[in-house]
Parts: sequence; C-alpha cells; structure tokens
Amino acid sequence: MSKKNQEFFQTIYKQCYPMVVQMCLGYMKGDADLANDLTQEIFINIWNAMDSFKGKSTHKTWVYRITVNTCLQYIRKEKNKKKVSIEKVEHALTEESYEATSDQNHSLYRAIGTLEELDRLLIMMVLDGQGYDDISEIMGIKSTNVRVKIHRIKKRLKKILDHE
Amino acid sequence: MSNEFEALQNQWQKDQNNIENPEDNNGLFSSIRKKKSWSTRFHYGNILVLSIVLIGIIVFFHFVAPVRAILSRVGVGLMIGGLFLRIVIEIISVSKAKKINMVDDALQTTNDTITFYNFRKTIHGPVTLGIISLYTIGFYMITPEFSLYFETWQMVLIDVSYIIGAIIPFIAIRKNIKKEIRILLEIIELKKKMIE
Repeated sequence: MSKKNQEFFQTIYKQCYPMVVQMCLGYMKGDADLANDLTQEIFINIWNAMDSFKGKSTHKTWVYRITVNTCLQYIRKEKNKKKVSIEKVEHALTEESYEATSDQNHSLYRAIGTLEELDRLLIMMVLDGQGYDDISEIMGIKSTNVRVKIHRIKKRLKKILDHE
Repeated sequence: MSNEFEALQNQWQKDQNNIENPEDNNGLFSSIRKKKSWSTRFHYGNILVLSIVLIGIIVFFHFVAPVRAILSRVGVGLMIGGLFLRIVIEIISVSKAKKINMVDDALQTTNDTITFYNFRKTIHGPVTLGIISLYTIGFYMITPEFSLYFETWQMVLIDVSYIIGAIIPFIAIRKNIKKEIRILLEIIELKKKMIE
C-alpha cells in the first residue's frame, strides 16, 4: 500500500472508528466480542478497498457502504460459529472497551437488537444523522423506499422502547 | 414521536463521541495483517490441498507404480483430469468471491453475492458429483492391473479404504451444500426485504 493510502487509511480510521464500533455494537446486539471482530473485518475491507476510493462520494458514505456490506455478509459467516443472543447485551456492555456506552443506551441497543438485521442498519444510520439520500446511495434503493422503511422502523422502535 | 426520536439521536451521537480510538495503531495493523493472511490461507487452502494430492498422484503413477494397460492409463487420466478440473473450479470460485465488491451499494453487493452462491450451488451439485464419479470410475479402472500385483485381501483392503475415504468428503460436501443453500436463501430473502 502506498504511503498516501496509508495516511488516508489512518485518517479514516481516526474519524470513523467510533461510528463503525457503535454500528457493529448495535448490529451485533451489544455483543462486544463479535462487535470487535466485525470492526476489524470492516477495517480490513476498507484497507483492501483503499485504491478504489475515487472521491465520487464522501469518505463517510464510502465507509458506510463497506460497513453495511460487511455486516450483511458477516452475520451469515458467523451464524455457524456462534449464536448471537440478546441475553449477552448486559454482559457485553460491561466490557472495558465499551465502558463509554451510557446506561440509557443499554436499552436502545437492546431495542435495536430486536429489529431485523436490515432495519438495524437503517435505523443506526438515521441515528447517526445520515440523510435519506445518503442512505439511499449506500443501500442502492430509492429514496422514497428508504423514507417509508424508516418511518416503519421508527414506529417499531418506539413500540419496543415503550414496552421496556 | 419526532421529539422523542431526536432525543434518541442526541443520545446516540453523544455516546459515539465517548468511544475513543485505540491509541495503539500498530496493534491494529498487525491484527489486520494477521486476519488478512488467515483469510488468504482460507481461500487458497483448498486449492493447495488439492494441488498436493494431484502432485502426489502424478508422482505415484509416474515413479512408484507406472501402469501399463490402456484401461489403467485411461483410469489414471480420469483421476488426474477430475482432480485438475476440481482445482480449476476452485480457482474460478475464489476469483468470483473476490469480485463481490464491498464498495458497491448494498443492493448491488447482495445481487453479486446471490450470483456467487448460485455458482457454488451448481459446482457443489452436478459438477462435483460428476468429478467424484470420474475419479471413482478412474480408480476402479486401475484395479484390474493392480490385482495382478496384489493379493486378493490387499485388493479388498484398497477397495474398502477407497469407499470409506470417499464417504468422508461426501459428508463434508453435503454439509457445505446445505450451509451454502441456507445462505443463498437468506440473501434472496434479504434482497426481497431491501426492495419491497
């Protein structure tokens, strides 16, 4: 890898690491070990794809694409090795590496974990402040479709959080 | 609902700000390298094992037991040809897997993954069974010439050990087929959910 790409990777790593970790944690229902493994997998894919970044989209959108794709592939590979259970959430959130996660977010991770995998990714992008057009670009589906889906997911999430 | 969601958003983003980057970047790089080399070994491991077996068979029939009868020579050809075909297919499979581009949008990547698993389904099914059949026919074509040099009990032992040896990969292939078909169905379902 060229020095320029290595520096770019370092920049991406510095800027996007918290976002990627949080997304992995939410996707893996709070399991810190799996989230950690998935985070590494994402950064390997970012590393491998460094040459293909052409700057057509922002680097954050680019990282999101790799994150979403890696998450969707990863869960299938891992399904054979370990079962991810929601019961692990409490334990996982006490892990040292994720001590920063607030108490209020315990229930949010738990609620997100009960959603379907695609819905989990969509809602986390919204929580992170991504617009519908960006999400549409990341997912490859129409913006109107994204809007409808997110409306439904928000309702479902509210219902889950209200029942807690 | 809008205000409540905004509160969740704030909470989420605040939490993200509290996640610190690990200070040890060298650790990250070494772990990435380790994972990359494991992944390469995983991808090329099958090809390597099959190639070693192929070389072993070639060496065996060239130096240790060079068969003379035409039937046996055809048999050896079928065995080597079948194995060689399997290696070529495995190489194609690895190159197809590498074409799944993580930089594309999720729908495109999902479509490419479906194409890949459809290919795997085909090679695991009729193609692999065809190759195993070729290999087995080839093996049994050699046995008449071998029986000239071996005792009957030794021939029985060779035949039985081949059958036992064939059952193990058959079970492994069957398990793999089941796993990959499950993945294929899940990804098709995922695509449906994406576009619905």
